[in-house]
Amino acid sequence: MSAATHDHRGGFDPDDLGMPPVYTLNLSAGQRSVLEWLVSRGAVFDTVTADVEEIAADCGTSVSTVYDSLARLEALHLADNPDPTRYRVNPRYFFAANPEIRRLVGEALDAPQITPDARATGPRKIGNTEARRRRTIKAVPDQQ
Amino acid sequence: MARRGNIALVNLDTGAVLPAPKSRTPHTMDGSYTLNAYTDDAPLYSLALSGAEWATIDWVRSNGGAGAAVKVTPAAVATEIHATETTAKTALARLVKLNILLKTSPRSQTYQLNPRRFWEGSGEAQVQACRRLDPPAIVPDAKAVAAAQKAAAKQAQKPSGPRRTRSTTTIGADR
Repeated sequence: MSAATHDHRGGFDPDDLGMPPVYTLNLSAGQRSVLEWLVSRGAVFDTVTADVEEIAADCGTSVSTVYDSLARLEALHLADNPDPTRYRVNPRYFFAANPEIRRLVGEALDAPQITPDARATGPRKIGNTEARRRRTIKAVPDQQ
Repeated sequence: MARRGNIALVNLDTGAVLPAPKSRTPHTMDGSYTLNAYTDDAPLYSLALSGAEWATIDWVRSNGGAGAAVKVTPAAVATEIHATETTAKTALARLVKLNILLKTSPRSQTYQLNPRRFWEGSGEAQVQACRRLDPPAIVPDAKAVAAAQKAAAKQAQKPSGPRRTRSTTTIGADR
């Protein structure tokens, strides 16, 4: 999954969703466990309240390590801090953690759009008898 | 021959008939696609994992290790996580010991992330994988327990001043 190995199809790189793999960021154990703490509280989907002392107790680190870790995560844009004490993990992290979904999203962005055809805009067929009846009625167009 | 409906679990001391335990494979989402399972296993952040061990988990995960067994060589991991081969080897060994990584056979180099905690694929496939692999729970080892005890002792040592709460803590104020 490194930058050198993936193929570039159609100019769009499905692996490039604006986030390198997490393991290449050289996160320290403290930083990565704070990130895991946030993710396990649902911070990927919503902002969560991060109590530094609670994080420190859960991760078995000191409070200053948690402050430093949150600062680095913020500097990397891995975590967003919209207001004090509340954190949100960058949704791009979700795709870095789930490569299959990432590939699918990449392909979806590259795939042709689905356009409704004439049948899609027409009335829905109700049943065989109904369709046959309609066909006999509609058979002769008005021509003068 | 006892029919299926006649079997009961009886307490031999008291003679009381106990309700039959219903075994259910732990997973959170019963839908068609599940990405992660949060069970009652020890959370990963409490295991005192080193940076290289975290990176190894992430490497295996982004190479498809959540959902299928993949080939993992310490050399390949080491070059991608910017560590030495010895570090990668030690990290893999500890992750296997913690049951985070499952080795499909003792001599192969194929590993799979524990489907109790990591999954990417359909929920049904996860249930099947849990049945087939019968994965052990992720339990803290001696290092994790020691780190937790050290942190708890430190917490107890600290003078019990006014505890900083959510309303008074300003994250990033000292930066």
